[in-house]
Amino acid sequence: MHDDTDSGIPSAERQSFLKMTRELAGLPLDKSTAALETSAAIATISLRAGIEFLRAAPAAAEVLEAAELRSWGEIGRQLALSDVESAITFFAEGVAGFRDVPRNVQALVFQLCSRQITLSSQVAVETFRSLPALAETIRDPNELAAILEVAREISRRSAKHSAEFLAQAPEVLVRLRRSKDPAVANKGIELVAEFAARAGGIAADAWAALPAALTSLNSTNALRLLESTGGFLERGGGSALQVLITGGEILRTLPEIFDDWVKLLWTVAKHGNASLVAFVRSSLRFVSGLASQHNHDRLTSLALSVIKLTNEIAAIDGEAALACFRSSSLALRTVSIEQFEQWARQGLAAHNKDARARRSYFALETRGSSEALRSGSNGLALETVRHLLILYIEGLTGREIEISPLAAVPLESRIADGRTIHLPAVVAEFADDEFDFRLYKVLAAHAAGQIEFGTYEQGTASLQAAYASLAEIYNPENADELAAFSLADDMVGMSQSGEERGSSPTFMEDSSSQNDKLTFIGQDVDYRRALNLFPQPQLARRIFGTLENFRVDRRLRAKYRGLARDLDLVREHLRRGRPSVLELPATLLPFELLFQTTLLGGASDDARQYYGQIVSELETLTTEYLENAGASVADTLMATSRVYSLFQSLTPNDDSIQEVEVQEAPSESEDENAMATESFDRSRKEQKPQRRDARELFNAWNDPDGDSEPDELAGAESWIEGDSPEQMIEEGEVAYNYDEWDRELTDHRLGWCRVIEKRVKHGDQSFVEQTRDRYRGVISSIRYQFQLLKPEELQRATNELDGEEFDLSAVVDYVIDRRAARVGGGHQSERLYTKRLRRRRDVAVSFLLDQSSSTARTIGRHPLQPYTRPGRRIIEIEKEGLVLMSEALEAVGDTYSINGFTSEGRRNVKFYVVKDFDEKYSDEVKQRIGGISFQNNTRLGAAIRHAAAKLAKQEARTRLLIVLSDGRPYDHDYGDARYAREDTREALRQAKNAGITPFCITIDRESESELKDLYGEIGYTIIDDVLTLPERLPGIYRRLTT
Amino acid sequence: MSESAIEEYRVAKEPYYLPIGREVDLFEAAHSARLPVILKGPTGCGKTRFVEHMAWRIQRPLITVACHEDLSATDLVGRFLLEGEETVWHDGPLTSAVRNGAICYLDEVVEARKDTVVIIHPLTDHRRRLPIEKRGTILDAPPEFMLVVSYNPGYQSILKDLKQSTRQRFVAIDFDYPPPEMETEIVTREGGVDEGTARDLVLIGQKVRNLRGHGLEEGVSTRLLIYAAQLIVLGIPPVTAAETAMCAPITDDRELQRSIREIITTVI
Repeated sequence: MHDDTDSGIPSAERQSFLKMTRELAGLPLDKSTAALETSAAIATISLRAGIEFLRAAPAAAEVLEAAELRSWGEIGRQLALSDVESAITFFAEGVAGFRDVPRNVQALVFQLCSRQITLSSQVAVETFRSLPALAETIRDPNELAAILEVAREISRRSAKHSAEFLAQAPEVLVRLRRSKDPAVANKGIELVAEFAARAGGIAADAWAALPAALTSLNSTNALRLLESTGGFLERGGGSALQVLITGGEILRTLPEIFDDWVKLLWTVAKHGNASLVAFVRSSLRFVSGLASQHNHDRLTSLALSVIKLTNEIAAIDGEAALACFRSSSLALRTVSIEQFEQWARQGLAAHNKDARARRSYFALETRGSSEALRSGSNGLALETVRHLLILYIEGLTGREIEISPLAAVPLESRIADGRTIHLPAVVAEFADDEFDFRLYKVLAAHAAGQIEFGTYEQGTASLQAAYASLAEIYNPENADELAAFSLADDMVGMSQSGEERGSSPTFMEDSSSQNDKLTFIGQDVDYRRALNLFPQPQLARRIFGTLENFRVDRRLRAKYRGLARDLDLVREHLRRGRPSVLELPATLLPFELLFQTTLLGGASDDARQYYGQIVSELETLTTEYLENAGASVADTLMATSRVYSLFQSLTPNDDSIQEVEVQEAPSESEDENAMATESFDRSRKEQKPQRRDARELFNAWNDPDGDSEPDELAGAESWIEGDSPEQMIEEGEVAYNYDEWDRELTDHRLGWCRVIEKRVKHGDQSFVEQTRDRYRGVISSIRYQFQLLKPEELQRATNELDGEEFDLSAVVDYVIDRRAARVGGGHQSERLYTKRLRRRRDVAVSFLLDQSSSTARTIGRHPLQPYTRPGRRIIEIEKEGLVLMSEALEAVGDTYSINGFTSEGRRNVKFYVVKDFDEKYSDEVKQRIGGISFQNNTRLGAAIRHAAAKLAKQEARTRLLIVLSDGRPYDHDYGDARYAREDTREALRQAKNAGITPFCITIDRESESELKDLYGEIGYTIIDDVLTLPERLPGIYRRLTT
Repeated sequence: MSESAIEEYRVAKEPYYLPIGREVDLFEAAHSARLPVILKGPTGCGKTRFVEHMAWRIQRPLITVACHEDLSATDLVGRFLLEGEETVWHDGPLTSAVRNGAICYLDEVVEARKDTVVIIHPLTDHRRRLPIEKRGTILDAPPEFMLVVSYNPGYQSILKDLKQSTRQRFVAIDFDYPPPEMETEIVTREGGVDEGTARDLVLIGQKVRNLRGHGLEEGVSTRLLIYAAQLIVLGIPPVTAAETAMCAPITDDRELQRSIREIITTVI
């Protein structure tokens, strides 16, 4: 193991050894003893290292005391255990740097290093080496000692963290000391020491977070923050760290609420650390959600009230309190604080037993809750004007659209996909319904304007050009592809013009085959793809949203003179409610300026006064790109790019922004500035900014109120998405939200289920052909019976040859003609009667097929059929029934649609349209019938609601919804059997109220009583022998419609 | 009907008509070739005005029959009436048009009963003759006679569809609401308003027509736009005039009315 032995010591070595011993003898006794003993210990591992130690010892002894000398040697010995060479180097370096280091500090360093070395020798050596530099920066020996004590404490658990802590220490300390009050720095160190003692490694994170948390705080507030954070250490280091970060933010925005907030946190903390952390995390969103809409004083009083309320709730139920807290900023956009308070108290009183109901109530999930919130307000509900608005938008655009509710009134219209239009569920901005409606009208007109003025256009020449130039700016790595891309564009242009001129087909082939893929890129480019080019798509999307709204606003005003009145009304209303720019956090400021210059029709006076330059730049930009009459979405994209870079240049080293920041704590400005720039640079380099890194600036820009994703569900749902993952919606599919009946709450859960309408994959047409063959005889008799079905509506027919009554005018004509005939001899009509005829049949029917995996069950062989015929799956039998039904319906001529459904949780109810009402029974439909297959679960309620909604649009006298189900409704999050049953029953009841006749055919052989419970109020039938379903289905239908 | 009576059916003054496409040439050609014509298009887009204009152009009398459910063959062909103790034969409008070589215009022909429509069949093929059953005579049409029917395909109800055997006897000229610039010109001229007002009305018209099929059976007609313009000329405020002419007349659905009103206030 050892490469040297005593006998092998060369004479030269021996010489120097003697010399060294002599030198040692000159030392005080305790030191020489220490040196010799330690050397001997080292020598047991490596003689060379031992000698090296002895050689360095005299010099070291001048600096170190005996105990430290031993520690030093011990570190080297430990090093030698793993690597002799580094131990030798270690000793050779000596300890000269420690000359000026006080003794108590030396002791600490050695303690720290010896702890670290048991975990990682590498880290320990580095710590050791870095110490002189550290001592150089931290002059105050007490401070240095304090820091080292913290590091020592951390090193008990993690060497890595203690090293990190030390590495950051000088920088952080420098920043802490910038505060005029030395108490802040001391307190900071004290806090970190506590962190270290209680939570170990997390102290390093807390330490790193300190400067940011304390930025811009005066010393009183800083001390308050540190004090409170310290208190939360007993709830764990993670919680305390969150409190530190968020508390700092709150003290900067709303110092008045800090104490109450902390009090609330303590109440919440009783319900566990998870609640506490969730609460702290929601706090920022809460404050920024309110801050974007109110001025400071109002904000303070609102926040205090909400916190007080939440505190009351938290005393009873932590989760409900959290829900209430999260709902508040949304709720307060539509109702007054008094209403909110009343709502909260009502909720506490009403649900004092049932925790689940209480939580749903405070999360604003239920219909009852959202009605309670609005009770007393005369706000205009979307439901009352929805149809009107749909017609209005369809009138303006000539396109079919859907309206989807938003939880709150947005400041500006949302840019979505051009099919679904997002409007607030309630508008209560004005005291008057008429005015509230005008707000709706403006939002609707904006949505229509987006469609009319080409927000969603794709692949136009200008968009392609914009895409190409944006790509050049933001995505230069792909320059090659871009070159090819723009080439492809040229080609497209050429081939199109070539087509017009009728040029030779060979040319066309060439261009398309070479650039097939690239041409494709060019054709479908739209604003979304262009926005994704930006390094910070979120930021770009937000800027784009505002600018695009501005463009649409301009164009609307130009084209629709009358609308300007309403646009002005809303603009004035928005202007009144804006917070002063001086009160806004720096992070929100650029957006506010942009918002004012564009959508508010000009910056406010104080904005102009303090940020004149930015305002005028924004004005120039918008004028340049968006003022002209024909501005298109491509112009908005280019303007977005300009504003984007303007905003990037507005990191807080811009003087105009500093003015505000500096007021409170001028000494910290430089510092904050440096940090912001740094984090900003980092985020730029990485392209994908880490949330934490960019916390200071871009995070807030990116996600001030969390509704930046256009596809994200707004409102109460957004934060509960977590427990019910949503699957991606594919191209061309549309999703609808439906309420669900909650039996326990005896209320609807709003927008609870998401139904995605899908097309069925094509299957094999042979299924239909085979079924037709198999049932050939049955089909022909069914067809015959259906042709005989008597139409149901009576119509009076005149001039008939026979009938119930005389047609008086015909009789008069007849009499006259007869007399005339005696003279001239002509022909007389004998059609003298009227008849009542059934001429029209007016039925629309929708078949809803359960496609859940339980339909994969195989049903045994029919006793009367030969052995060669195997058992069949239920779904196959159901499909056969559909084939027969289609034949029958084709014969009678009723309008019909066939749909199937499955579900995977409430957000993924899949609704397959096999045949729509207006489709013909074509080969394609036959292929789709063949393609029906089984999967997943049965969320029957949502599927019925969707089928009923589609059916309700049919203008038939009789509307029939036939549900084919194989058993009970079931889904993961569909509650117990009774919950599912009652939701289904409620859905059927609603359909009935909407003028639809539901009818259920089930092959469930469960107890009759359950079925009665489920379908009792409406018609149902049970098919005992599933195999007879195909033959029986047309008969059932015939009975229903005659 | 006497010779002098038919003169009342002559169109003396040129009715205003702004040609949109080649319909004038087509009509003249059809007349020369003795082909019956079907005019297809929504209500109030100018079909009747066009026929009047053409009657003036080719200098033939124009006899118009508005068809309805109870219109019988007798009503078209003629009947014996009692006068004192005598029965006297009276020509129906179709018969007198044939007799006088006029243009017979059956407006909204789908509204007529199916058995009534059949009597025009012999008039619309190479025979060009009208059998008068009650008198037991047959009337041959002179070369100047022309049968024109109008038909609104917008109804889309199976019951209100023309039979193929009827349809295929006609050449068809398609009509639609005029394009915006032309419609503006028409409204300016017929309604007597300035061009800006006309343009607003036409814009409203276009937007309301988008609602066809969303509860509205038919879009707002050019005729209604002109009515609105005429009301404006007489001092009615534009919004009220537009509401009176374009909102209440076309639908009874309150929500639909409201949305049309919102469209009106959006534009004006």
